[in-house]
Amino acid sequence: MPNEERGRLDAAIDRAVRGMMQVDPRAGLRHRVTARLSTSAPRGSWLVPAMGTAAVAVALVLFWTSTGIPKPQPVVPTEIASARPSPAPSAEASQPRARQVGRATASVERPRRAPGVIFDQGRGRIRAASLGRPIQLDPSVFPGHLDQVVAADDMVASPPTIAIAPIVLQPITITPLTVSALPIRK
Amino acid sequence: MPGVPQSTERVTAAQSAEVTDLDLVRLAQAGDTEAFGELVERNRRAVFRAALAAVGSPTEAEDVAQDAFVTAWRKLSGFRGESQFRTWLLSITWRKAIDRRKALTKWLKLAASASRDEAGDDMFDIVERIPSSDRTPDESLESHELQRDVRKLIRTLPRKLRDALLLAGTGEHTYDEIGRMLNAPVGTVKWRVAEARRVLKRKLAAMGYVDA
Repeated sequence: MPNEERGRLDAAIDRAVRGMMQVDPRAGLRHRVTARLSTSAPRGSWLVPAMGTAAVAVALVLFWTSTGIPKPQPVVPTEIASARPSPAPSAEASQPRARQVGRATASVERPRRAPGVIFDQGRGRIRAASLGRPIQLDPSVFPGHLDQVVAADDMVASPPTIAIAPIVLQPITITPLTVSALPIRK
Repeated sequence: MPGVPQSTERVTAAQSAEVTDLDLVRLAQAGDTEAFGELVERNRRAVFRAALAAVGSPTEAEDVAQDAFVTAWRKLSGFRGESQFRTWLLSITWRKAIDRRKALTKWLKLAASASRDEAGDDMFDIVERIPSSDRTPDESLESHELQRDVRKLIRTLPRKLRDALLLAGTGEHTYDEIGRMLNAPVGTVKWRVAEARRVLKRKLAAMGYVDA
């Protein structure tokens, strides 16, 4: 409807709205936009590789944690199994968590220790054992604790059996930082 | 796709008339910035005026328009062509513009409180500074005053009415596009425009202007 027929106020409103809105952007908007595009890639170009990498990382972590990395537990020895002959190499495979390392010792005969010193003065930890033959601790008695055995320097068994604990990666626990207001000094 | 230039080619002016927005979008999705530049060229006015309707300042509107285009570029991989690119782009623009308006409103409240005594303006007088493109030197003083009063009254309209009235007055947007931007049915948009005009005329009549 032409403005002349709509009345003076309608025409004034139309003119005011046109004056406010029918403004064009400054020249060169296209170039200003495309210049910014070079620094901002489309999301799809990096999102897929990033998500893929993250998924692989999560899968690795889950696999790693689910394969049974032993957690250190307190050792409460109750008894020592009877000494056995040196285990055969095949027996070592049955205990993958405790790698056994043989130790060359001198063939000097030393007096045996009394059984009372096997335990470390009640601290709950096997300290040493003087046995004439290498021992094999029964895993059923010490499940998961064979790695706690510490060989003593004076052990004369030939060859002694030493269980060395594998490297255990423990998760790092980050304590949340608590920020409290400083006291105001006046 | 027949007739569509490969992503390595540049869209020339002659080609751009034949290539649809969707073709350009497909090229841009493959990383062709020139194709996206053509989309910017085609939609720059609609995007700029939509932003202007929300923020009221050409400078701010241009910033919003640039941000909207860059955001559209980043999100382009998510555009499936279920709606028109222009509609999708205008939705992004309107959201950006509303965010900017909220930030500006806070800022202008602070600035206006400091300068109100000097200028005697309210916080929405930023709209008054938009240059008018249709004023002629021979406008009468009465007409000039009427225009000034109409603009002031437009600024006092409720936002829903003002947005609909200004978007309808851009000459760039259909009612359907306005409805999608405002998230309102077309009928509601038309009602808001008509209601805005009724409110303006009622207030103008109360100021002594006669609808002759």
